Amino acid sequence: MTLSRPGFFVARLLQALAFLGATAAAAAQGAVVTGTVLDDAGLAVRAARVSLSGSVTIASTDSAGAFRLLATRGEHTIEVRRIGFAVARQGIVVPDAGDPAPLIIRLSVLATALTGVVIPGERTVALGQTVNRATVRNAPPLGEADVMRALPFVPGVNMPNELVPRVNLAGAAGDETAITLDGHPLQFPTHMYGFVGAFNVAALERAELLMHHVPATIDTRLGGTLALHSREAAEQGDGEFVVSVLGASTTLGVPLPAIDGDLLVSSRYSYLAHTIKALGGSGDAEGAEFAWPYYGDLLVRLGHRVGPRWRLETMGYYAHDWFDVSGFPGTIGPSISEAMAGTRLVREGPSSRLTVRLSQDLALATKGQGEGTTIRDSEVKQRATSAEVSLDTRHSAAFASTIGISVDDRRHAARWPYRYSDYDTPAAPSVLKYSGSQRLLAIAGETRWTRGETGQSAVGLRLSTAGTSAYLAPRFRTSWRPAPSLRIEAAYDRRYQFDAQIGDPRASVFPPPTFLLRRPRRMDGIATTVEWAPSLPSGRSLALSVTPFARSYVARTKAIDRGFDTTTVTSMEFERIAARGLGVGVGLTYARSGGASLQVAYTATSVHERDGDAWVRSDWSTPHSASALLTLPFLRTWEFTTSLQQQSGPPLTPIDGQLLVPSAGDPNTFFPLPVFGERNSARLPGLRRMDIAIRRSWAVRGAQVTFALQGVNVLFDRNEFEYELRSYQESIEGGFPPYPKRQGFPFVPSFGLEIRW
Amino acid sequence: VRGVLTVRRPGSPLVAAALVVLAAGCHDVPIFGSTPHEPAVYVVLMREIAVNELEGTLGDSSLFGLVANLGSAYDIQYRPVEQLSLTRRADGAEFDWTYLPRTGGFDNLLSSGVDLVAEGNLRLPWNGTAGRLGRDSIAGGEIVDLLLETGGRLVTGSTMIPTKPTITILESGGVTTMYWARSIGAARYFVTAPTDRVGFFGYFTGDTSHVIKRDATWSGVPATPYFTVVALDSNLVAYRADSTVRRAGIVGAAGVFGAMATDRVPIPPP
Repeated sequence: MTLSRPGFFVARLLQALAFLGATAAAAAQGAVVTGTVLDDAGLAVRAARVSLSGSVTIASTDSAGAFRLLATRGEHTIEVRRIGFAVARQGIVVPDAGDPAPLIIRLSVLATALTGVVIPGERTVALGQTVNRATVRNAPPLGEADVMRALPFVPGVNMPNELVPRVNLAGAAGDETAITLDGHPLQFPTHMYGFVGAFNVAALERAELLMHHVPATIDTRLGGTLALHSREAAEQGDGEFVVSVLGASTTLGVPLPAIDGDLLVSSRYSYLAHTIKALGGSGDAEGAEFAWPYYGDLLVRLGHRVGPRWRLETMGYYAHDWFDVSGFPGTIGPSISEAMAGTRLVREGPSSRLTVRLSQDLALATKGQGEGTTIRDSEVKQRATSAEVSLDTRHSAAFASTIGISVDDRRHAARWPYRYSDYDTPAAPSVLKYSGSQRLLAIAGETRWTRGETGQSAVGLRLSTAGTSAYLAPRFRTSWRPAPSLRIEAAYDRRYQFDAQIGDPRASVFPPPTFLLRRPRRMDGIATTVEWAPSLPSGRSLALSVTPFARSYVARTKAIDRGFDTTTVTSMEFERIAARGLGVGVGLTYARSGGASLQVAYTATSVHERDGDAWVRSDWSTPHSASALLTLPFLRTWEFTTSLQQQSGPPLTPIDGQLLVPSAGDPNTFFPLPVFGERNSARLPGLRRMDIAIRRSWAVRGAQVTFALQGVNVLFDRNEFEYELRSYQESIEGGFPPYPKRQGFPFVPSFGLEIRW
Repeated sequence: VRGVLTVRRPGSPLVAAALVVLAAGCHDVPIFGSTPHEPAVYVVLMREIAVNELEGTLGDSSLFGLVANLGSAYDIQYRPVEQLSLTRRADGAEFDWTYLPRTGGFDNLLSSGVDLVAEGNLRLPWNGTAGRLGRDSIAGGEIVDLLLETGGRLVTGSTMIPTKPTITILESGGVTTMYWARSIGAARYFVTAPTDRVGFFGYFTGDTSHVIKRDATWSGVPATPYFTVVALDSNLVAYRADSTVRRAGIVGAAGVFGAMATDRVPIPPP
């Protein structure tokens, strides 16, 4: 919906929120259940999830282990979960008048800590998924644990190209995923040209995938948001030291009692180039030198109380990739970096939470073109400044609301002097001198109300203004528990996105520039989740979820085919097309208290976009993808993990023949050009990858030490995803196996050592 | 069949319907070749003989063309030519094109280019014979019509030959600027200035001037650099502008029937 008078609709939005507030205030009044969660040693357990059986009400414990939960009158079972602990359940009676006495709930440490699956019920986001640190660690890593590599184990998520941790959420495009760290937006959060994520897993508490529903008060892109949350504040100080073949990292959580605060410092440095050189690698097969890759990242977060209810958090994040080109005298190598500084001020009241956020992010990538480069003539420079104020208020036991306002200011520039080799598409301009700016103002509100013990609903509106135009995005979700073991959720979201990239970049390339749009792209999506989690004998848990979804896109961007045009492009124009997506995600998790677990995900998607008069497959179409992650403890301190991923091959436009194109200036010389058939109507063979890991953990002087041996692609699958099609056809017709231009990971053995205290 | 869901026992009509909807559009076609036998014709008229900056003037002064089919991704097969006629529309004079019968095909795995001097099956000599027009008679502003029959398929086309974009050098205040005459019949110009970063590999433009920057510092700059302007007719521009365009200037086949004219001058030393 495009509006020309934003003031009018802001007033209507506020009126609607006020009406909903008045309606829900009349709902039944409940009681407040309070308590403390302690471990076997009597120490407080923070970040435990507390819920009432048969209800959708959820609370999380603070650093003192305390929780506060709203409940209706009558009998309940309270359930407490925390990674690394056995689930605790306790009966409670809420009297007809007044609140029940505070509870003390004890959690027992599991024999094997950190079982490493997405624990059923751990999820804290509606129609989304929470991936915890343990899950990331249990997925056999490529060198070291990487949160981006754990995402394909989530139903509804596809990663068509395993060399690029760029995901498609519910069939959306690769540039339609937003990434935030504690609410601060990020732009290039990967290392080694997108090979690994630029986050030290030890510095993260969890990753929330807001896929099918994003609350109206949260800015997002069309696909959804990957919301990363930094490690929670340490009560007594903790830390981790991790060594892998890729690099080493250190994470320290330090309480600062002098200022009633805490400090989190996490740094990582890759010595991959040193490792290869030490193993005797000094160049490629012809003896040519490599441009050796180096990377590092740093996260610092200082939090402290500035008043009885106020907490101020200041965060700095820096990631940098650089290349040692000493083998090419007189040249300079590419440099890719991102620097983010952010502040968050939170006031926790008895029935309200006020959050003020200010973020500044600069993503900068520079390089020259080709070997022997002496100047950096290509650059992508993107500066984003954003500020946000939001207020959560609980009006009664049954009714709560959030209202927020945000401003985003972005300034992007990109330039390259001639045909950009990182995009193998005629849609990329030959010469680019782009510069753009954008200021967005958004006002959003959401109301939430609980219906007895079994249902909760929320309705929200987000009004975004760009220039003189305004765009209204309604969002709605509802959940219902018809039985204690069954939960049904449904959502409708409208989302707008005000930027775009030129399709998906190839693997191992320079960060693609993001172009700012005057007219946004739009998505309307609906989804439903049915989750069944039956009660099993003690120590076992099972959850099965099925999530069908459908999406419709309007004015999605498609880069215009520029043929051989070498005109300098200063403002990027896109063709606007319609698109649609349909799919279903199925997830199964099974866990035993001893640490054995199985996690299975299957995603079927059908994604198409308009191409003239026809609907054609989108470039990232992956009809079927399945993954399984199995963890089996043995001999008390050992653990075996294996993962299997299988998915449809990438789509491909068939070649009907080849045309010849005359050379400009020589009528006797022509160059071949493939003649393509219907876009993306063919498909390369499917992908399969099996990884394994064996870990042993033991305690040394109060610290937990884990040593792991890992193997990626142990079945030696070729997993071709890109071919030079002329040689591909010749190989096939000649009876030879085709040699792929790019293929997935080879067999990669590695090790890791983790020390936690 | 890969990519297609098979519903063996649709116990629930709802589930079966959902799977069918999901499978819709998942059918895959072969990666190669649905129209490999479609004819393709490539003829580009230009009077000037191309010059390679590094190797000097090319050996053959004849003009060549090719009648083939779309072939496959890696090879091209010749087609027979039963009838061939190129005429100057103004007076009906016939060009001395001859058909060089070839069979089979040639591999085209390398993208370094197809040299029609070696691979072409149509030839126009510099001087015509028996009163017919040779390459030396190609003149700017003229319209030329093509009539060709291959395998029973009739192919027709026409093009206007651009006039020569004559270059003028202007040096003022230490700045060298190249101007060229607007070419009648040209839809775009391709400009090459090997001394410049923008221009080393050439670029297309609608302008008629270029300021010499001398900012290309790499080793590929020739010792005696030439500034070159090529005027392209609208058929060639349309053919090159969009990689999905299969034909320009002709009817009845894929390919292109177009024309170019060029001028070149040495770039003065700084």
